[in-house]
Amino acid sequence: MPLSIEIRTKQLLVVQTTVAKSRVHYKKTFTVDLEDGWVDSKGIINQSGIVSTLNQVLLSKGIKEKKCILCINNHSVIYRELMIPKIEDKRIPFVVRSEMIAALDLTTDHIVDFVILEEITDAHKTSLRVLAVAIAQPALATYVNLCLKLGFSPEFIETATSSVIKLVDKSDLCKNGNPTIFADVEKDVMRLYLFEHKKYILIRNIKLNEIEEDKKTEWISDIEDNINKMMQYQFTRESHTGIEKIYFFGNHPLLTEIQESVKENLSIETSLYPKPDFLSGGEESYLPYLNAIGAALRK
Amino acid sequence: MKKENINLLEHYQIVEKNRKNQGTKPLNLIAILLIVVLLLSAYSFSLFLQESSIKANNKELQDYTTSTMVLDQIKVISDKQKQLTDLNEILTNLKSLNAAFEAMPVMESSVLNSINACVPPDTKILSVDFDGQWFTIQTSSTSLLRPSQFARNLRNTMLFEEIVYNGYTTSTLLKTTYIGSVKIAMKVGN
Repeated sequence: MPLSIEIRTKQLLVVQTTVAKSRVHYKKTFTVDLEDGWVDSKGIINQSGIVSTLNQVLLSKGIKEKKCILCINNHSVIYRELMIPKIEDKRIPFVVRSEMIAALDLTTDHIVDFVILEEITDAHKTSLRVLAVAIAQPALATYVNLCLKLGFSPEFIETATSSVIKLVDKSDLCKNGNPTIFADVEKDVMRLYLFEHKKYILIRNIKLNEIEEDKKTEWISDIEDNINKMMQYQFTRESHTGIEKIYFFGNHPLLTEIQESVKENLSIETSLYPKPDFLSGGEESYLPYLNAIGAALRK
Repeated sequence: MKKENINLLEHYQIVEKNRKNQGTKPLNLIAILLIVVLLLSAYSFSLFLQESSIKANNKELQDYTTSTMVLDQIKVISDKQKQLTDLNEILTNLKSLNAAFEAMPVMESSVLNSINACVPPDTKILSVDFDGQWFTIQTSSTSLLRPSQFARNLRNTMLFEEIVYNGYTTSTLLKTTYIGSVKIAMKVGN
């Protein structure tokens, strides 16, 4: 069973998964906390620290896997939504790369990949809506080197947003196509993914402060404010349809409280991300590991 | 196109492969150049060794050919060859002479006896000449009938291939003498 490892700035979230054609089975899950500065926008900074820490955990859990899948969920990856004209398939990568370099003023050593979100026809002109991802080649090299130092053979390297897009699509939670928010609440960041008509619309990252003991209510209120902003934004969109439901996942200890509070204060249907039909195995909660599980999915 | 997966690793591997290929190209060229230089050096060295060996052999041969002993032997051989050439020339001449002798007609004593027997009375043989083909016999007699009789006698013997009677001349120095001339061609084998 290959390991799917989500690499955040301060945590590694590891899932032992097997992916069949239409099903994902997970066995063991665990989280490794990282110290400040071990991972940043330049990739893995403290290779030996992470190798030592992760090896200890793998040893203690008796995991001897050699294959791995990486899901990068930190500032070393840059996302950009692009609209490009519909052109020959073989020319799309070149155009996307050129657009990314021009739009974000990237150096030519950046590696760019993309997913096609949808095809839009407007006034007889067909365009492609593309979510492009860029990472500096030296930064990506640090992830590959980390795998090699751990004795892992990486199968592929995904990104968090594209993993969530695959996960939501596969989970089929937007059956009627109404706008839906998927909130990934992590310890230091909250990511709000907006979907409409079963399509990914946008992501909004909100940095979360440390929770002070006596200011928990205010802290949750800030979260609600940010979710409310996303809800208001949805009304400005062409469909003028409000958010139907918010699904929460992630590894924040207050995840359930946040979900309940949002439901009550914003008068909107909320839920923790239900266990998808295609997902099986494991006794521990899958909610912190959905990015890693989504990364393991191949379409 | 339906692209729904991101795989940064695939792009990274392509970039790395290209980078390594670019890095190894000059190294490959240098390696090829070094191999060529080494091969040429080795070849040049082998040629140098061959040349040295040939030069040494050549000097030995030159010393041998210019040595007094060999020069003396060559002189002896030259003299012998000259002698051999002369001897061959003599042999050729002798062979020619031998052939000429063999080709010349041979006159047997019986034939001379027969010619003598044909000489009429009062007739003397003055001379016998042979020019390689014809015997010319001159006779002198006191009768004018004798020269022709001599020719007729000869013809009657049937020993000769041909008898040519040339007539006679008259000499009147002391008394009248008739000088006859007959030419005789011998039969083959005589």
